[in-house]
Amino acid sequence: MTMRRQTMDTSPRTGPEDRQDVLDPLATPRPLRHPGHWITGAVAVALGALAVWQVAGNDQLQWGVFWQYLFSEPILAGLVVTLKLTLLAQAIAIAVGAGLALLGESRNPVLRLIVRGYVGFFRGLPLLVLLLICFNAALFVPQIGVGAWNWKVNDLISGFTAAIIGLALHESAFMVEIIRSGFISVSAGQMEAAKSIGMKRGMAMRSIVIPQAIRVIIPPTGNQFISLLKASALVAVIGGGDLLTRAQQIYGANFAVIPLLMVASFWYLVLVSLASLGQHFLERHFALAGARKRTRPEQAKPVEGDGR
Amino acid sequence: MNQPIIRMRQVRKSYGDVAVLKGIDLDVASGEVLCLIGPSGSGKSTLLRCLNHLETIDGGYIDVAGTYVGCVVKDGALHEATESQIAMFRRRVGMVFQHFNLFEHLSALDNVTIGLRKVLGVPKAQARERGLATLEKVGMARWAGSFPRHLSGGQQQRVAIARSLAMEPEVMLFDEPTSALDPELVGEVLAVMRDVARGGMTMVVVTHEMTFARDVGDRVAFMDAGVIAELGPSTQVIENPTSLRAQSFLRHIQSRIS
Repeated sequence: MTMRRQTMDTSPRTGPEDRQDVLDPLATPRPLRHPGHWITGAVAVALGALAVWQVAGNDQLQWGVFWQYLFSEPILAGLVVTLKLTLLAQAIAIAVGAGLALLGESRNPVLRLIVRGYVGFFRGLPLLVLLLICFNAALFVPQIGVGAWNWKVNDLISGFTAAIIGLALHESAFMVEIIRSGFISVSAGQMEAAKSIGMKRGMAMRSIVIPQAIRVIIPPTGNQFISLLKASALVAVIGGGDLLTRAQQIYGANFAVIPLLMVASFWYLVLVSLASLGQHFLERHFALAGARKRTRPEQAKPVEGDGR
Repeated sequence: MNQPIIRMRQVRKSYGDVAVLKGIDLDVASGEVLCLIGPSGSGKSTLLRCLNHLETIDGGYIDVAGTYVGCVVKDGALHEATESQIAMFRRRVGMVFQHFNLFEHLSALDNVTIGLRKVLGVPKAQARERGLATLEKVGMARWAGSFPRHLSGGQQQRVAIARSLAMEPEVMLFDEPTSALDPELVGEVLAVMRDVARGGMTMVVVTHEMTFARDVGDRVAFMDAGVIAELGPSTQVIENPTSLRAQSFLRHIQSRIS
């Protein structure tokens, strides 16, 4: 960039003979200085430090209370519930989403219409509304959950089950779209080639299309998981027993509102960071086959494929 | 001429109001290499895709190796075939695509063996052996472990040919196999196809390579506007076409080459 500007500036004025005397053709141009960056950077750091100092030094924070509850039994129990909620709801959403996405690929127009309707409905409803509906539906039909007896120990069965169902329904609508976009990302030629060697649609989906769609599906699914992790805090309104519910119960009793919200925030940030890390490794694992050990064809060993 | 292994009778196909195939009658003998040439939009690729039911025909019938394509005969009448029956039929018909369509997530060897293992149920070790032997035939055994995007277009197309060949089909269809290749890579693919032809494979080849059509093709069918305008021994059709349309098409192609 700099080099180009230099030649552009000088060439009209000086002939090539003159420049040969003045300029060393092998020299690298001196880098442009950016004094403005130092000034704006310093201002930003100062403002940031001020904000941190204001918050950290705030008496309302009551660091003692924060540390007292950070690893307390009810908070950790809430943390486990939040994790369970998110993992279970995400697992159900992936299963339901994959099933519906496959149905959406069906040649039967009725099935395709049903899938469109499902996605439209559950993606359209606010999660909070959906959770309230599930919570109240559970009052009328207590055995609505899938294997609800698994959590009999929990004294908030209906809240927990409603939370799982609500989160899973909401999430599955997005998963249908994500998985469908993964299918679309695989070119039609792959399906044709699979058919041309005698595969049926189902087998072609399983062994050709889905393995290639996975790497397109993983990144947005990771994002969905992270946003579900955070959205799971909404189940506090139906007493889901999650991290936020526990924090609220504690500050409802001792009025240390801010410290307990900070405790919850701390754990949400930890969970989200872990999830981001997991997403990173998943993406690397499902990156294009062979992308990690890039070999030039000449160097490739004659018999490397293990017929996976 | 041997017994015909492919018989097309009054094959018709339209996309909406546009008639692409207007009643094609054509036989291909067992072991014959038939080249389909003609201007783009003449229907040659569509006809080829109809031969393994990637496209369905609207009228007439196609008989490939004793099977009515897309149909089964029951009680003396034709019935639409089920997906399984069509898949069973396609095992016996190989297809090579213009854009190779190799399975991007599989190594060259796995591309060749996946059909053997999943479709034909050949045990893993045996499939691997057959896969390597087939890659050897197309000169790609050294690249068995390479993934498609690390291979040149010519190498990819050779692996694609091996993928078809490994299924031991009775007929092989080639849809402009060298049209997507850089000029210097065309030769290696044509050489492999020449080998396959020499092995006695029945081949239907849609191509713009007139030298290949003349030297390797037994017969050439010149298609224009959905009909076969001229059909005859390859040397005759390429060098002394009788129809005006074939003459003008070939003149055009020749002027482009020289």
